[in-house]
Amino acid sequence: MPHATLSIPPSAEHVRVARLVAVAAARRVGLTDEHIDDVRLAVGEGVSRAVARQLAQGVAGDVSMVMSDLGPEFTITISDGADFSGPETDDGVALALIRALVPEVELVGSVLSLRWVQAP
Amino acid sequence: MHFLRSLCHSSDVELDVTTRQESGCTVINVVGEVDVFTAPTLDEALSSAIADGGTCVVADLSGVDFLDSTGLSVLVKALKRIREADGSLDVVVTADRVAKVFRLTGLDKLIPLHATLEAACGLESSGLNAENYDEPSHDGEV
Repeated sequence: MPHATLSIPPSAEHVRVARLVAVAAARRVGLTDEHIDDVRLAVGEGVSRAVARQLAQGVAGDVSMVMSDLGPEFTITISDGADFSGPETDDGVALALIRALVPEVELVGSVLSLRWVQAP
Repeated sequence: MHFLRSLCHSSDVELDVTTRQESGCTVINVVGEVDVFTAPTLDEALSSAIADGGTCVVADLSGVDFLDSTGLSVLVKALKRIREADGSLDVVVTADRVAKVFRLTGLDKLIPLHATLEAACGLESSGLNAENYDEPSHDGEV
């Protein structure tokens, strides 16, 4: 599974699907149970944030999530269609939680990347 | 789309929220996953309990295996309203993955966490905060 992609409509009811898929992918690449719990919560926060951004701007396109298994690195990239970088709709709580849960976090525009590196 | 909806609405994802009176407290029993989609159900139950005059409110999350920041926001909103009425909000948490969300956000400093419903209702002295966390300050900013 070098790469797998999930696209969901920007609706709160579909966030759980993203969590389920991300957890399944994390298990497949061999993350520990503790990290899998972190994946579940971080992806939930990240996808909820993406959905909220699109709804706030009235963007109808899908939110996408790409899971990449690159050797020791497992990366989940969440992209939304919002084209603004204004204040967070939740005062930044979601991003703060994500940064507390994920070893490497990168936010560039509307693309949020979460990266775990497994020990050899 | 049908596939996504069937995943979202399968029987194991419904958030079940029931309210009852016990030991002088309003106990809100929550079972399922609390996220951006289901949190309004918890919000509605807490709001109803407060509107009905409940000042000793216990949210029993022992049946919850997932809670995100949306769920925390609902609890903080309820805490503000209950404090305005000089009441208290206590939470029962048994899953570490749920307790972790309280710890990471510091909310465990504001809301007393308990391992059992009896402790949350004041029938036992020990709670998660007393055992594993700093004692929450009831004077803290919400």
